[in-house]
Amino acid sequence: MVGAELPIPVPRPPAAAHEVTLVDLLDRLLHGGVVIQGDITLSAAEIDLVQLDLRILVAAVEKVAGL
Amino acid sequence: MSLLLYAFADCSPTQVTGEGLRGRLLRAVGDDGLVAVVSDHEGQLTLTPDALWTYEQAVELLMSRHAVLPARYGSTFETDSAARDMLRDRREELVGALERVRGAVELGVRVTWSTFEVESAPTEAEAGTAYMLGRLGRDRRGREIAERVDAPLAALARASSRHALTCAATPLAASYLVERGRTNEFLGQVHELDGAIEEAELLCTGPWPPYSFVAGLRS
Repeated sequence: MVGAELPIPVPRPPAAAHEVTLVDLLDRLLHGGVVIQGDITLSAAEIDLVQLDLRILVAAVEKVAGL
Repeated sequence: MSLLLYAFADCSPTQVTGEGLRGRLLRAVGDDGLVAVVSDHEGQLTLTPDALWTYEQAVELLMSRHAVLPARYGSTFETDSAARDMLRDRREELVGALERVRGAVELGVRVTWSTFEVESAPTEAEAGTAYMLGRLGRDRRGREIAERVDAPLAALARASSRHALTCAATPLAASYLVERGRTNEFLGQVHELDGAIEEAELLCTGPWPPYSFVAGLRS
């Protein structure tokens, strides 16, 4: 599909758009996609977090709601 | 050293170019028609916005040219041989999944209340029937809005998926697998719904690789 025209997202205030899009990115990369191993351990600040995705998403969505 | 997986793609190994995390070159394991797109990686993955966006951009570049099955962030193979084993053992399943997403992109839609206050526990004076009726009314209106938005958008999509992680401020968060040729029509419908529903706002993001439509593909 080389050269296929891709859509432009519905415009939002810049700060709000960035926060919400990061939430959407996290939701997809950490919850979606093909999984090829049972446990995925990610490191943040030298702390191994398996449930990081849920905590970040909950905090991020609540923050967006307050904008 | 391990192999960080970005996506499975229907291309030849020579068509995989670009960089991934830590500036490592992307490369392909596999044969013409089905490859695993990887980069060499050591140590643990960091969870930072920059790393996530770098990963996402690599997958989106692939998506602009080929059908892809994006991998969950952090998926790795120990060796090239392990990647080839999976490609061989699950070829039919992977080819079928690529066919289901070929020619389409994922568009995300999030509905949020235009005004929303995080609710604290009701005071003694507020507690009781009036409070509960207020909550029930908002929840019911949220479900009505979710259905009003989801139905026409799902009709324009090849497939749709509602996200389980929503909160009181977000009546609906969903993904839609939309034919590339219908994305403008889809966006037009989102705009129309956004204008018609006064108490909520719609945000459409994408196009994303089809993260939400590769369910069931796991070892």
